[in-house]
Amino acid sequence: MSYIVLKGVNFTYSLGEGRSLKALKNLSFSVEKGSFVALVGMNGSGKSTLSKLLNGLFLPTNKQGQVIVDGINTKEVEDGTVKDGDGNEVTAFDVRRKVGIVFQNPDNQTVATIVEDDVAFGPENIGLPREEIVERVTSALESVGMQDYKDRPVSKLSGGQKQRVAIAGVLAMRPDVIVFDESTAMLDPLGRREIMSIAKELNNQGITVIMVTHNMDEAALADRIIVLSKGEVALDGTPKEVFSQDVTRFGLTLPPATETANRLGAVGFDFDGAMINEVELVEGICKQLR
Amino acid sequence: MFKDISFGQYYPVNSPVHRLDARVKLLITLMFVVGIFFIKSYFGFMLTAVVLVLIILLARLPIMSVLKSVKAVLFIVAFTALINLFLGGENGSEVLWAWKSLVITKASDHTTIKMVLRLVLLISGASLLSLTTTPVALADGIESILSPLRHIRVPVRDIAMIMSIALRFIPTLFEETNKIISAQKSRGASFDTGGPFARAKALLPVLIPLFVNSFRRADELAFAMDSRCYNATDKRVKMKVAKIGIGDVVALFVMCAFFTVIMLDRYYWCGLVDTLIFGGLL
Amino acid sequence: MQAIKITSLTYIYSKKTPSEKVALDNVNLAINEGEFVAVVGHTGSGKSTLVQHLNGLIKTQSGSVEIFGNPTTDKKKLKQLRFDVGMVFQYPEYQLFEDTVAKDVAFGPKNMKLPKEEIDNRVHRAMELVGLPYSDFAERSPFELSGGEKRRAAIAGVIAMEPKILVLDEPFAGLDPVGVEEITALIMKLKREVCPTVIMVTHDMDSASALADRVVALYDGKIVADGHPKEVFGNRALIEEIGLDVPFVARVVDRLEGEGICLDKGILTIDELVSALDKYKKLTGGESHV
Repeated sequence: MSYIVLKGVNFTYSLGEGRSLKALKNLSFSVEKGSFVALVGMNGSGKSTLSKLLNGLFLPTNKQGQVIVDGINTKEVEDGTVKDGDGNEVTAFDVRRKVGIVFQNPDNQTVATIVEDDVAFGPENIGLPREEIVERVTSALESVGMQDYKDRPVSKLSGGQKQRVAIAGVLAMRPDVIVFDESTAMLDPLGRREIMSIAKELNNQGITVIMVTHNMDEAALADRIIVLSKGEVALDGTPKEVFSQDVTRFGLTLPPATETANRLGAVGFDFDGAMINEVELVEGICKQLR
Repeated sequence: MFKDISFGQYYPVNSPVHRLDARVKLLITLMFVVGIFFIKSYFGFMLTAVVLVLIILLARLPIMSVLKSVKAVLFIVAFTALINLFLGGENGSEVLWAWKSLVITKASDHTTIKMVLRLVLLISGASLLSLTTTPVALADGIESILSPLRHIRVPVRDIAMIMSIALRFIPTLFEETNKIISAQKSRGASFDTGGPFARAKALLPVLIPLFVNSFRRADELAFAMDSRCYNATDKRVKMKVAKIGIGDVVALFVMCAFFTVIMLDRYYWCGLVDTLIFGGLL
Repeated sequence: MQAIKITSLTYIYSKKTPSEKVALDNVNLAINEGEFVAVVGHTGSGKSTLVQHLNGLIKTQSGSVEIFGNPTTDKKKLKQLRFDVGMVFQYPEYQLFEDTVAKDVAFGPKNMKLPKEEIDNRVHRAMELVGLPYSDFAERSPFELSGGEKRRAAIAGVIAMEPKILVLDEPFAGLDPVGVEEITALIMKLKREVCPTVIMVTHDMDSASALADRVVALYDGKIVADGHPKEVFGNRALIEEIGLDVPFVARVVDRLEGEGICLDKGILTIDELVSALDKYKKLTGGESHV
C-alpha cells in the first residue's frame, strides 16, 4: 500500500529580484508503507527540499503538484476544509504527526536544555494528556537507548547521542514515517553506525524510513534507492539495480564493494549483478576461487 | 577567552533545593536580592552569608561552582569598589589616606567593604538560582508568574519559549564563538592589541560569522519546531507540572524569617547587634 | 628537515577541578618536511588538542613543541608561527566573514602586513589553486557560494598565507561524494605546490590509508601507533582495541581469510586487492576447474 504519493511536484524557490531556482521538477513517485527508502543525490539535487515536502513544511509550488500522505493532500489541509471520517477537521499538524523529520545538525533541532524536556516538546505541543506524554517520552527514550540520560543537558552529549535524542523527539509523536534528512552527515563513524542501526530497528518495527544520505554504504542498506539529479528522479530501484548502473553521472560514487567487484571484473572475475556490500563481495569472490 | 561562564549552566544533582518549585525559587531569589539591599550592618552580611552557605550545602553544590560566577564579574566588583573607595567618603569622617583630591575616609572604607560584600552575595545568590533550576523550569516559572499578563494580550507563552531557547543555545554559541576565534587567530588575527576602536573592529571577523551562523541555526530550528507541531493547539500541555509542596512552604517561611531579621536589623536594632558582636573593632 | 618536534607534551583540561581531563599524555612526535601524516583516533582521544598546539592556539602546559626549530612558546614569533602553520578547521566555511571572496582570502595576508601588491598576488594565486578563478569569484559574496565552493574559499584563505605546514581537521566532513573527490585532489595539489608537509585529522580510515604516508593513532591522549598505514592498519588487534574502523579493503581481506583465502594483511587499496586476487586466482585457478 502506498503511504506517500507524489504527483507531478514542482518546487521553485524565489530568490527575489525576479530570480528563481527550480529545485524539483515534475516529481512523481510513491513510498510503500513499512519500506526503507534511501534518497541520494549530490548537493543541490533537491533532496532536502523534498524531505520538507513530505510532511507539509513545504508545499508544491505548481498547481497540479500534489503530495498525499496517508490519503491527506498536504495542500488541502492548509485551508481547513478537509474532514476525517468522524467529521473532525484534518490540519497540517496531522500530517506532521504522521511524518517526522530528523534533521542534519545535531545542535539545531533541540529546543530544550534537558533531554527529557526536549523529547516532550512534540507531545506537549499537540496537547496530549500529561500521563500519556510521560509514557511516550519514556518509551521513546528507551527505543533509542537514551533513558539513562533523561536528566542530562543536551549540550553535554556527543553528536550521535544528540541525534538519538532528536529521533526520540520524533518517535514521541508516534509517526508512521521518519525522514532522516542527512542525519548522519555530521557524525563520527560510531555515531553513524548508532543512527543507522536505530533506523533499521525502527523499520523492523514497522515504521517507514526515508533516509536522505551521501553515504553509499548507508544507501545500500535500504530496500530501495531513489537517485535525484537536478530535481528529477534519475534512477529508482533496489540497491542492486541502482548500483549496476553508472551512478557517477549523477555525482555519486559506487559503494566500495561494488567498485571493487567492477575492478575485479576487468581482470576476469565474474559477479552475479552488483555487489553492494562486503559480505556479498567476499561470497562472490570465494565462489570463483574455490 | 569565554571560558568558565557559569550563567545558564544547570548543575544536575538531586537535592531539596533542586526540587523546589521554580516559582518559589524565583520569589525567594527576589526576596534575597531585595533583602541584600536593605542590609546595613555587618551582622546582616554575616547572616546572609551563613544562609547562602547553608543553601549551597543543602543544594549539594561545590562552592567553586558558585564562586566561578563571582569570578566572571570580578572586574566589575573591583571597579565599583575603587570608585566607592575614593568617592564614597562623607564629610567629617576620619581621613585614612589622602593624595591630592583623592581621599579615603573611614566611612568610605566601610561603604566599600559593604558594597563588595553586597555584590558578591548578590551574584552568588542569583547564580544559585540558575545552578539549581533547569532553564526550562525557570522559563516555565516566569511564564507562570507572568501569566496574568495574558489578559492584556502579552504573548507570555512565546516569551517563555524564546527565553528557554535562548538559554538552551548559550553553551552552543559559546562553543562556536571559541571555535571562530581560534580559526581567525590562526589567520593572524589578534584581539588584544591596539586601541579600543581597533579592538572593536578586530571582533568583526568573529561577530559576523557568529551572526550568520545564528541565523542559519534559527532557520533550521524553526523547521524542526514546525515539524514537531509547535503552535498546533492553544491547549499546550506541560509534561512537568509544578506543584507547591511542603518543602516549598518551608523554604518560603525560612526566607520570610530571614527577610524579617534583615528589616528588623536595619530599622529597629539599628546596628546594635554589630556593636554587641564586634564591639570596638569598628 | 624536521618540521615539527613534539617532546613529552602533556595537556590537562580544567586542571585541579572535578572535571579535570587529561587530553594529552606525554606525547612525543617528530614530523619531517614533506610528510603526509594522518592523525586518527576516536572522538575525545586528543587529536584536536594535539593539532591546536602546533600553531600555539593552545599554550603548552608541560613539554615542548618546536616548529622548524622554534619553540611555540616564543611570544615574539607567535604571529610568524600562525602563518607558518596553516590551520584549516572542521567546517571552515563557517568562518567566512567578508563581503567578497577576495577580501576574505586577503584577511590572513593583511594580518601579515604584506605590501598591497603582494597581498593581491597571493589572493589571486590562492583562489586559482583552489579552483575559484579570480575573475569569476573575486567579487562574489562568500555566503552565496555552494557548499563545496565555500569550503574551497575558506581553504584559499589559509593558503594565501603560504604556510609551510598545512593542518586539516576533518576536511571531508559533510561533503557529498563529488565534494570529497574535489577536496582530496585539492589537498594533494596543495601538498605538491604550496605546503609540502600536511597533517590531516580524520575519522575516515579509508581516506587516512589512501592519502597519508604515515598514520599516528591516538588513544586516551597517548600515541599508541605510529607508522606507515600498512603497519598501523596491519595491526588489527590494536585498531579494534582503540575503537577505530578497519579500512574497507582490510575488512575484505579479513573476511577472505575467514573463508580460507589468505592475502597479505598490509593490503589497503582496491588496486592492491585486485592485483592480489588476480594473482591468487592465477595460482589456484587451474584447480578450481578440475
